[in-house]
Amino acid sequence: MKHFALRTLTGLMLATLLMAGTALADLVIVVHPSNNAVIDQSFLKNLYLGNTREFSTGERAEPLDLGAGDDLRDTFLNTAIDQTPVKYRRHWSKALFTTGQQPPRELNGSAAVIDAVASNPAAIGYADADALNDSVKVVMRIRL
Amino acid sequence: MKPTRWALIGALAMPLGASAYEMRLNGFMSIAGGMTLGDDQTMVIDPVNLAAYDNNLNFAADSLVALQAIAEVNDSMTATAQMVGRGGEDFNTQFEWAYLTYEATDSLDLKGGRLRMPLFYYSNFLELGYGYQWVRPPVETYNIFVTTLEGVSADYNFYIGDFSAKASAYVGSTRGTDPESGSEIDFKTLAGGSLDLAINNLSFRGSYNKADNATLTRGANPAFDFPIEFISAAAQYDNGTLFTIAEYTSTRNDTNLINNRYNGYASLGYRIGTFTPHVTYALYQEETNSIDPGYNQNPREYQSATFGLRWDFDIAAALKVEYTRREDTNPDSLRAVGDADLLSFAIDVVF
Repeated sequence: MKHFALRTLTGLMLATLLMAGTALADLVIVVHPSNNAVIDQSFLKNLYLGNTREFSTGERAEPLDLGAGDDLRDTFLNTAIDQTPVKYRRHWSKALFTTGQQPPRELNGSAAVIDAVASNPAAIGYADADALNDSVKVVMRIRL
Repeated sequence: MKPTRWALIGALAMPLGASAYEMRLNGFMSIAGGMTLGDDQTMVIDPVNLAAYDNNLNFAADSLVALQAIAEVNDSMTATAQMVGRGGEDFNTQFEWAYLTYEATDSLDLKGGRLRMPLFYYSNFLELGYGYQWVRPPVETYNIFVTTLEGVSADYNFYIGDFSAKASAYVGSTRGTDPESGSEIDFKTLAGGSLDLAINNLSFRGSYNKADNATLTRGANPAFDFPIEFISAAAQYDNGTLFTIAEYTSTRNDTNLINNRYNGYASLGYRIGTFTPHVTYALYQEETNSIDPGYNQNPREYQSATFGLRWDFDIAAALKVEYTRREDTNPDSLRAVGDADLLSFAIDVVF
């Protein structure tokens, strides 16, 4: 009885948190529905900084980014890959002109990211949870 | 000429790739100026083209513009070309890079074409002022008169415990004119390798480069072959606020016509918001190769101290000012470069 009450309470709290989260528009990391790779924070960091080009499955990964100045982008850089926008820009300027490595492609807005991921099995991106639909798979959710 | 042909191959590969895939165009620019503070002082800052500052304000020597195009040829192949126009060379554009990259695996890249010679820590971004604290890397060390080669290279990324590592190897050929002596040197076969290691805030780099039969032609004298060997080692610490780097190089030629060189520098900087004050000590030393004391090449020796400030006034732009004091400790006045005080500044942008 006690356990049931506790579980209900936890469930309610989680639901509330989830709802509150949705209201504040979470940031979601999305991949193509066919993608079964393991995706964690260290993978995201390595991918967005160009240290790896492949998913854990060995398939090629194409990271997508939002344009400079986008609030969601600043949040993603800060929380998911531990970079300030300036540091991130510097990293890629250097990489671009030293190794010819190219930074993640920039798209204009969450809806464009969702569309691009839905149509490309290699793509991975981040978007505003409000823009989500079931054409993509959510692999990580960052509560804002 | 061979170099031009390679550059053309790189340039031609790109529009072809661009038709089917994406092509990316980027660039960077440095607008720089400076002057020495004494009437008779000159300071050479570009060993390839011998650009120098003297007592007149000069806006050309360190200024440059570069355009880089990268095109995907297919999923695993890209074509890269970088054209650099230097103020010290009347902005005549030259292909510094023009190569194809084949991503053999996630950790192995193969390249062919015109490549940067990976001699120094800053070799890959010699021209990219935005990438370092100075107006230019220390000239006492960065004074090799060839910077590119035509050839092939392999880069392999791996881990050794907690160290991330990159091993590179290359083989190719290049030629250049030693601006000092006017000697033409033809490196028909030049090979080398480098190893980069990084852990947390520390990184290390070492390189070994060798040409067994470089051919030297000086004026009407008969050409002769000699072996030449270049070794470099660098260590860097950067915790995001405080950074320091030291690099040491050794160039040894087995001919009594050219002196061996032992050069190096150490630099320390501190980032305070958008400002980065820094200080650098650099040393240039030669050692004679001559066994005949009557044929002494009078080894040079000079050193410099640089105090500078970099201000990142925009995410993609930096302003730099610096003062360099060089002291010549060579007792032979004929071969002396002299003392000099240089004030210089630069605005570096990337786009």
